[in-house]
Amino acid sequence: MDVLLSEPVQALVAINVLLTLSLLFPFVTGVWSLGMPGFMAVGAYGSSWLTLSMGWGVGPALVCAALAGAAVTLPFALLTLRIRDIYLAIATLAAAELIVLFFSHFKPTGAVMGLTGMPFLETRWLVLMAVGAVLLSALLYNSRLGKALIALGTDPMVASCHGLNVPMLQFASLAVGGALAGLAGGCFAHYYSFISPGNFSFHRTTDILMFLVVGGLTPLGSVIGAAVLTLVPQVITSLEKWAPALYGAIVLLMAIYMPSGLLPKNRLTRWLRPGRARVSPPPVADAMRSAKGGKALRAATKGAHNA
Amino acid sequence: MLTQQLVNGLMLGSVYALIGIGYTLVFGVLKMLNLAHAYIFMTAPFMTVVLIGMGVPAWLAMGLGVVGAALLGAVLYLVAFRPIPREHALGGFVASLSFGIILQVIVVNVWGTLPVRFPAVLRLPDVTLGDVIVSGVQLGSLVVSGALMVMLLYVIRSTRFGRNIRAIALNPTAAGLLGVAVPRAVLMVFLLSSGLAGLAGLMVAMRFESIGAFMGDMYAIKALAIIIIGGLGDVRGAVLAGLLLGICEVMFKAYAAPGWSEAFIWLFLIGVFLLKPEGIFGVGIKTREI
Amino acid sequence: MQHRRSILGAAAAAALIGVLPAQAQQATIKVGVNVERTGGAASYGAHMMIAAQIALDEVNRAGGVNGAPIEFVVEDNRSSPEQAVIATRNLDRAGVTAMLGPIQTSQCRTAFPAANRAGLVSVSPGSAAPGLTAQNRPWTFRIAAIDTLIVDEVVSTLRKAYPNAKTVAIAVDTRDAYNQFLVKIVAPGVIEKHGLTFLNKDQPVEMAPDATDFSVFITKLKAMNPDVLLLGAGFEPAHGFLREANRQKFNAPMFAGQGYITASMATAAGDLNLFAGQPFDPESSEPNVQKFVTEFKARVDKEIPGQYTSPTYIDASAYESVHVLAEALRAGKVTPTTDPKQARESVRGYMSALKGYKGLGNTLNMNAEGDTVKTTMIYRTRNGKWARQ
Repeated sequence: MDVLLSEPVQALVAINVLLTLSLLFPFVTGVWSLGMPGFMAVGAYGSSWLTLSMGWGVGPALVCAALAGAAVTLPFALLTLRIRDIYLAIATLAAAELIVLFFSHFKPTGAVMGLTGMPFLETRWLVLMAVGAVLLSALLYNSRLGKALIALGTDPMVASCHGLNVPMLQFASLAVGGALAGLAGGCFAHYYSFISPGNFSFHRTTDILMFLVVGGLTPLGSVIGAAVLTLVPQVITSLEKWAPALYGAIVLLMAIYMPSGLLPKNRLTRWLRPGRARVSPPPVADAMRSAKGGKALRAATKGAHNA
Repeated sequence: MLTQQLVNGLMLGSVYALIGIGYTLVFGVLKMLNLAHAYIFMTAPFMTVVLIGMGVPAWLAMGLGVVGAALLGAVLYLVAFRPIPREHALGGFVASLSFGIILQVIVVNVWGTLPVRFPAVLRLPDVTLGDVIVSGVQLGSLVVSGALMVMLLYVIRSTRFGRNIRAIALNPTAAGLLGVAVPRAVLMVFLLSSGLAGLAGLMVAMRFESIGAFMGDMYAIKALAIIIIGGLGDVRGAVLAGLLLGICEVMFKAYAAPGWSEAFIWLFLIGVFLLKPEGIFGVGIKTREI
Repeated sequence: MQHRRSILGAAAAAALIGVLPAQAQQATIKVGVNVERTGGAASYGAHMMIAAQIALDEVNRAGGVNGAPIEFVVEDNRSSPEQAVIATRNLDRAGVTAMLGPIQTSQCRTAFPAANRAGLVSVSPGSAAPGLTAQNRPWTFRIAAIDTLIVDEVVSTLRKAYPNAKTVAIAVDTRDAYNQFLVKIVAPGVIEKHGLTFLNKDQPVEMAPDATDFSVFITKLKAMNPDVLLLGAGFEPAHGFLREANRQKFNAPMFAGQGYITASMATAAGDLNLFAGQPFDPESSEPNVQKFVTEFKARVDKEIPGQYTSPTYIDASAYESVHVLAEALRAGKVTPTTDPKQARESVRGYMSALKGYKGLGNTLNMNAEGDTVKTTMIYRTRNGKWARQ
């Protein structure tokens, strides 16, 4: 237990939570953006440069890191206009790789040799920021705006017929995601005091995707996924060199048996409010798309189909 | 000099193409990305090394390595993909990645993380055409992969199996209703795709006479680019995109400013998206055809 | 029925445990190890652990430190900078008197500041990046290899073998931080000092880390016709590079940084003349070196069969570090009941003042930055094998 609550573990969980949330926001609105390493890098290098070369305090630097992360999502947003789904995922992945590649060759920030010496940021600030982000996200997704965002992801056609400005909302979600990743990058830079392009690799993207998938596509799901999968390796260390294999097996089993995650949409509300198990009937389009065809249609009209 | 680069590019390209074909086939039938692909690519030469160490003759060991890779693919399908419903595309991504990681951990625990010598068992002579030296292994690999690609294209176009796969790619429910044994066909696809990955791994192993637990990592991310550029689910596209990328990469490394060869592949990918989203060789997202 | 049986069984077990004599737990002095047990550097970690264990067993066989044996508390940093900080913290919490490791610079970059903040004395047996310990004074040290000194001696030896050499070409891995340091920070001063000039200092031939085809680079380098080549390639790509250089008969003498002195590299080098240096010679005839090498091979063959490579400076440094730490603990009169803070302070004091310590075939002197200066041995490849110069 002591191992699980130590400060570096808390810090890592906090950063992972921020990153998972940064992936969640665009995903919910149907934007499959894998640009997170690029935004994180921009935030990390940005805030490092501000504190190292410009003598700024860590707080203002982190704010700028978040803003920079959000700003960098603009070109990505333009991609979303032309491309969808898996294609968009890979395009954003490519764009993120380009950003990191840029930093690998950018001499003022040390290129491949990295930047060091950033002022230290205490763990409690990271935890505070992560908790704050989770609370704000949960509040957002329970509000009308949040429902609108979820609707976007479920069926953009229907949503736009209802008057929602789909591209604008998607851009906004992407920007929030970018801001969170930028913030996470700044936190990373100031907690570990050293960054280099190697910290922002595709490997990190796949790790965070695992957190999101295992946790479920909700803010609480993101927290659970990030926390559980960051903590699991800390407790299976007795297996030494087989520990990573066990971790892989655990994730594999979770992906198979809980494909929608530990805490997917509505599972928590179902537990908290068992009477209110039903959600509004799904759009007809969704039911049609289900592989079970007619059966689902009948169930949907009876209102027994849960999202 | 230029011809030499072209040959090297074709060699790299054919490795990319073989990997790309397998990747794109699986995506076509399952609409999921198989991230274990690059890890099976890596495992095949290790299986061959084990067999050679047990005294199995080299040719047989390599053949068995390819078979072993195919079988791993079958296991992968049964364990990681079949249990996951179609709607959860990300689930397949994560499950296959975990499977791949487990493979990699096993390899690291047995062989370590340092490069392992792959025995130079094929004593094929170098061929000299003018001032171009083509190593025997390079030539052999090119011939084999070329033949395979032609065969595959024929299979996809003109055999029942090929039609089944195309049907599943378009609409699995309808295909099932029309009499295609979908799970069996998908299993075959995995066998085929992983076998190709294994073969690609062996080609690389023979060329460089060295293998390592992390050798698949650099190919994994490029394979993604290849299948996108070629068009998802399009085998012909994967072949052409793979070859094109291999040649371009080698040319960039030789003649362009350093560091740009990596950037090139990503810029090209984004460019393809913006200008021709269905892939430069694809025929449209809506009418995806293998 | 089944419940009652299981309760009875549990009660019986509990009674037994209470009755059995408690296993004699001898108090030990704890030394922490922050090592790359899994991940990309797992092999380095595995070898280093074996070397450290050899030293540990020797210390304990000779009676331990002030009467008590030393015990390793091992934390896996998974070759990850984030995990390295967690490992440091776990070791700190476990009350270790000192921390050995991490090996790789990328892990040291994050672990050393954490150790420095926690007041935990740390010794890395592997990292060679300039300035790492200087930035993390006073608690961090390295008993490894200092590139500037080694490269200086290597070039000096190369000069003697090739007195007419004037020009140096550079080939470097674009994404390898160590080699970038080597080429951009370490080498220039040394090259100038020895009266050589760079041909392509600002435009080194850059190779991608995943380069599989080196013919392009060799051709470019051949065209430059350098007298000497500075090879800043990563460990794996270097093999491919050397093989290709052999094929194309590019035989300018070459020199490189750390980590090249392995059998596989020499085989790849074939007929070429590759110079490198390290502060450890596994072929040295000194008895303690031979004893170490033999024991190392025996244990590697037993614990990780098939993965034997002759011990590198990392393994030798780990061995030396454990002995140095034992000496420090002895000198500080540390016992299992000593307060960890006090123990760490005495170790730190001893390490800072380390002078003339006899290591494995060399002498260790700690400099003001926390790096150990050791004698360098120079090697040159000859017919597929490394030969000591």
